Amino acid sequence: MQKPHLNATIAKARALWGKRLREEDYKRLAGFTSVTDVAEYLYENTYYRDALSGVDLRTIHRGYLESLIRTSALNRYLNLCDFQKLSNRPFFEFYLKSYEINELMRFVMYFNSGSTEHFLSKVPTFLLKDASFDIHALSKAQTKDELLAVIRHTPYYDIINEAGLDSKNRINYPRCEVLLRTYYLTRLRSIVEKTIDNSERDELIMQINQQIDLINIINSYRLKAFFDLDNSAVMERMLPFKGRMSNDQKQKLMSAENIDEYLSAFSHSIYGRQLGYEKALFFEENISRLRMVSAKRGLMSARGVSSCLYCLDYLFGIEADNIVTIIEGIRYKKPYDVIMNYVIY
Amino acid sequence: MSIEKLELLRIKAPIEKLDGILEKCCESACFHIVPFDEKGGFQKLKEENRYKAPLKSCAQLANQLGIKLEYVDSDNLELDSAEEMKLWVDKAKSNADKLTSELNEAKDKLSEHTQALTQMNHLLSLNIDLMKIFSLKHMTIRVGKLPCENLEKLKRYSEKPFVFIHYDKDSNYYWSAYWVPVSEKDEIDSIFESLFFERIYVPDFLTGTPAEEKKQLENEIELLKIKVDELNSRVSEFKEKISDTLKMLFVRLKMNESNFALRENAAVKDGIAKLEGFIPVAKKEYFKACFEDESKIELEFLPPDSERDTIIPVKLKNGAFSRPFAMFVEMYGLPSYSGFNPTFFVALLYTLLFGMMFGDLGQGLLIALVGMIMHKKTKNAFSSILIRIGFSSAFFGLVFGSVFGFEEALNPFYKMLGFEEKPIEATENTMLILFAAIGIGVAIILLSMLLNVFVNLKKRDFTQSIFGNNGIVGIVFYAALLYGIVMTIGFSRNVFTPVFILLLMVVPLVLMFFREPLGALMEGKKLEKVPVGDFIASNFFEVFEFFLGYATNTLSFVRVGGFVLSHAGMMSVVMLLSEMASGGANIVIIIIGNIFVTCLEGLIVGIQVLRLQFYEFFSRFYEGNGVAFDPIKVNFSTNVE
Repeated sequence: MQKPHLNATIAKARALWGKRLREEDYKRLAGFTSVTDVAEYLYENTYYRDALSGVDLRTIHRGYLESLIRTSALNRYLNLCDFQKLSNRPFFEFYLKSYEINELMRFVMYFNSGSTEHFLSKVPTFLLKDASFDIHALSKAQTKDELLAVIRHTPYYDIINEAGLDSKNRINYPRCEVLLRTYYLTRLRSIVEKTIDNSERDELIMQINQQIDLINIINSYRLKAFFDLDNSAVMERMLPFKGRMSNDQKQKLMSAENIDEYLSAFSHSIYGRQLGYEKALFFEENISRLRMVSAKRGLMSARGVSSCLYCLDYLFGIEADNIVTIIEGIRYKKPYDVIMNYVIY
Repeated sequence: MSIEKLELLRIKAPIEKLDGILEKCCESACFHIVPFDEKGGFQKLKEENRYKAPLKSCAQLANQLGIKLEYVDSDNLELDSAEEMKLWVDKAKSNADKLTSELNEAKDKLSEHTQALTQMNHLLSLNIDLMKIFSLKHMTIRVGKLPCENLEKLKRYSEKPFVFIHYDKDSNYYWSAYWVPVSEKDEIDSIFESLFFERIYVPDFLTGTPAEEKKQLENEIELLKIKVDELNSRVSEFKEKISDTLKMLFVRLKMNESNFALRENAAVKDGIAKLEGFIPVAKKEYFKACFEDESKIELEFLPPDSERDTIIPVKLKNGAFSRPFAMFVEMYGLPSYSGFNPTFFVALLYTLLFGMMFGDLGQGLLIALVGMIMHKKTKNAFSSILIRIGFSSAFFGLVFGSVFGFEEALNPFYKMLGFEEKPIEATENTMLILFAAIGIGVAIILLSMLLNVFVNLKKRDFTQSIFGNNGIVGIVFYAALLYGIVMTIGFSRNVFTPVFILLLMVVPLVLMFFREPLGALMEGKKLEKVPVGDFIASNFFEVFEFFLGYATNTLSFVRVGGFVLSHAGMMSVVMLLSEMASGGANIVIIIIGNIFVTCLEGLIVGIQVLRLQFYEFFSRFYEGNGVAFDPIKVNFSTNVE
């Protein structure tokens, strides 16, 4: 059971979520025709005001605006952790590992395409000093050996090594992604099992299991719909955990011969039943909505501070993604309806 | 407390007189127009509203110049025809466009120069002609700003062929420049772009050193400011010049446009227009007088139900005391034209029940005072209700001896009247208050049942008026049951004899069970055929529900007593808290506590009384299915579609 004094952080987290961007805000934002209008609206009407103060909103670079939005979301989470000195507990560092792994995966993509010099620009600045490996050195790595040298003393060394090279001497990205995510989730579950008390542990494990299921569902959907891979190839790319879905349901999904069969099997799964899903249109967004609903519920009903903040971090991330989606939509002059289809609320 | 008698007025006139007729109907403020059906060869008028375009231009012009449109007397307007009005608006708009465009141009230039000055301020440490920097043949220079957080990332590209300097810094950016060989600029630009370097485009007219250009810019900015001020004052003069005419024109156009829009309610045949609407009978002579000089206008006054398909609107007629409470009746739904206006009963019961449930002399007078202030400012119905319920609360406060929670403050007053102490001590007479509340409830329920009998007898609905649960047999059953309970519990006299039970309880229940066939029999209607099983089952449960309803609805009034006690309880908490505080804090607590209790309890009691009215009182006899009498009028809203 959560120590009662940490309830203050839970209350603060919920209060902060109360200030989130709502449907009306997204509609207003998606209705703008310039990135400047978006920045001004966020500055005038939302809790992104602090993040945007001191910036010239008329000339702000789109990429910088996106970076500020994401940093603001992360800072909100970190401030909450600092509020009652939670930062020194092992669980609350999950965000750092998650960022490291995301950046490593991104680097592998740049590495494989031979354009590593553009990797650094999008790295969150805090990682330059907080990451467990030298990001500068990583961004200069041109060969697999140079890459391995940078991460030699980290757990990622064995993972990248194990991922191996493909026929074109590129790092096997799909394998690398599965191994990195598997490492992250195994470590996260292990910390939860060891350091979190009973009832709170169940809440967290449920969220993590759902996260695993939904990652697997989105990945398998993509592989079935766009790459037409056979079942064994799809199975290789799945995260090897038992989530909330039964093995039988999982097996039916993976063995679907085509995308229609896949969607039909999905509609009978625990997630498909919740979604009342019939069509493939915006499948991934609908899956993300499902996770968002669960995270909202998790935030509001959490008995422990760790599950509460875990859900909140996810929700802040989704909010930042939504804003970035809108900014990109406006930049590419997409119609309002098209942009709104990709916004998750 | 009745419903205003109406008549149907049919006006027939040559079409060219239609605008004048509609204007007079608007002025009367009591003509409820009825859209005319296309029959007898008459057709609806389909024409474009010629006042719409100039009205829109008028609103745009006002918006452009910041003129607040409002209702003004338009008698002095010298423009008559639609064409004249349109010409005036177009001319004024063209002049305004010219002026504002000049002003915007000057403002843009001022803004451009101000931004350039900001850039020059950051470039002051460069002691070289800008012209020379930007016209280098083999090198390209980019000036701009780099987010501070990305300076660290720039080190990654240290081996690339560029020189980066930052000459100023603020909280978010390094104001900086980089030089790059022309042949490498695409790659380096791409790197800086990826690091969110925001380029600043130095205007072409800046050619000297930043320090020189700064000076020149400052001079030019001064001149531009003077120009902007001058243009601003010219705009203000123009605004002042046209303001009065524009407001009058807007009012006239709005009136003409609204009237014109009403023309679609008329029907036309062979150049003759027909218009129909309901008017109060009391205004009949007024309408006759309005059109008596017009030879070609025919007025025909008909009974309100002359047109079978037309719903007769309802205009409530209330006395001064009950008029504001019509708001609650309208909220529930107006009665039909042939129905019953319950506003007086609503006013009476609402005022009494609120006063009883929220009895405090001080707080009541405070509510009345707030109502008076609001009434002075807004004149709305809610403020009038506040005044009435405030005084009622004050009166019952006098009975309960409570003034802002001070329960003994009125004792000298009672002694002066010859009482030993205050008449009712709420906290010590809990049961008395709760039984009294139920007694009040019984009286209200019986009143609503009697009203149901009256209303439905008027409609010749014998099922509801005689055999229904709220009809005569319902009253007999309910009264007998209560009488029996009161005699048994209160006076230890068992009146539930077999004859009493059979005649006053069983027979009424049986009559209720057969209310539909009996009612149909009395009304001479043919009874709808229903399977016997269905009839028994449905009527059994309905009668059972009636029985439960009598009990629950009566007990529902316990809340009246509950609130009397809760008021005393809440104020005793305030007093307790004030006693715990020391110094001046106790007065503050008493003031804040009184405000809190007045607002919270006032709101809750207000809602509860309304609930009692709507649910326990209205549901027994009232059907709010009427349509409001809505006279045509000119809409002076400044919103223009």
